[in-house]
Amino acid sequence: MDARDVANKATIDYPGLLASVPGLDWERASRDLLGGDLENYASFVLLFESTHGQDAEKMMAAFAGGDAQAATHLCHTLKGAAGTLGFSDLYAVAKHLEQDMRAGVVQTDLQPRIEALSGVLQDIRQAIEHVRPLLAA
Amino acid sequence: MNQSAKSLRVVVVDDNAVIRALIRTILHNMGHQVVGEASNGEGALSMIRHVRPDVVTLDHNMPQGQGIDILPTIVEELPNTHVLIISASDDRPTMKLAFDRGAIGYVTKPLTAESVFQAFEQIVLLKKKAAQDHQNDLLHGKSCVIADDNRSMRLLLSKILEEGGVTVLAQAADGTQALEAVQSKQPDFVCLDIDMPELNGLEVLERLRQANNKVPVLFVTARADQQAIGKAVALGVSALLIKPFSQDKVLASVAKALHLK
Repeated sequence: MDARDVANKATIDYPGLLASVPGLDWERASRDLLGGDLENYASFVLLFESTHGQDAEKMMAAFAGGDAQAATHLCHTLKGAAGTLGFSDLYAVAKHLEQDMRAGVVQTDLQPRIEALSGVLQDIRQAIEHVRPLLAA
Repeated sequence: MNQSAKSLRVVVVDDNAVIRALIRTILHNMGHQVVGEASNGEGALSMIRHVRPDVVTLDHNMPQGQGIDILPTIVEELPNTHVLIISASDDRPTMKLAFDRGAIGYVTKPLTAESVFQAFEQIVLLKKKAAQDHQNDLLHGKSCVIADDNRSMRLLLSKILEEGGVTVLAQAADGTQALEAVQSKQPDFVCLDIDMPELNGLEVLERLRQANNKVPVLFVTARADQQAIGKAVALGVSALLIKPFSQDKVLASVAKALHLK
């Protein structure tokens, strides 16, 4: 990292940028996970978006292909990452969806739930895409 | 074993790349070293067999090969590797199963640095205790001869060694007595002061080796004299104890000398 990067990092408004992500409990999560290191935490928020941003679509595709087990596992994994990184709303939605999937709720009844999850995830994705260039400066 | 008592070598097994990266960062912040990562049970097993880590963090719920399925294999094949389950399930039967199969700890998701820290502190303590037990086993029932012209130093060393389970067969006040005692008592190891009248410690060691006596020798010295140390090493000294010494230092040096034997 050269001096210009250091200067850039110092001027990044991490709290403001992280607060623009809906349902992200960034204060608690950054403290509990990384001792309040917001720069490091922001890199995980970006990693989350690039890793899990398309999970709802993947879940739908798994269901469409008849692989309910894969869909359930996607939901489980999304839930774990969301909960750990402080995406509280997404975590709650994914948790209930996973429970229903494991309880054997029929696919047609699950469809609107997956769409709801997709909506929550899409809002998160858009917000992170919006701040990505600023966080990664 | 690991380089320092507190830094553990860890393999992280989780199918979620975000969680793996996070665990790696948390462990790095604690001074531990992630030496491998795997995203499924099968890949994890071959990696663990290869790198033989101190700790494996194992995700319970993975698509191919549940973490808990490879747990008994790790426990059986690698007794020095501790397995920490990291799981989103906090139901008692799952936790009980993990402990029954030999897990050392269980951390529930969502993760926090604190919960990982607590679990790793436990493992660090266990590792220390295991190293201590190993040292005690090495020392217990062993015999030695102590040679030092300073009586209080002989008494101190003899007390320390006896507390470590070592039998002190004889105490010598000079090099000639030391040589006689070693030849007649045939101890498991010898503690020699370097600066002694008659024969000094280096000369005693030299004569022992000339007589083809391979007994492990620890030198006890107050001065870090490079020339003397160089000669001692050339003669095949097992360990050097620089005064002032502590009980821990003495017992660890003796254990090292006996282990190398």
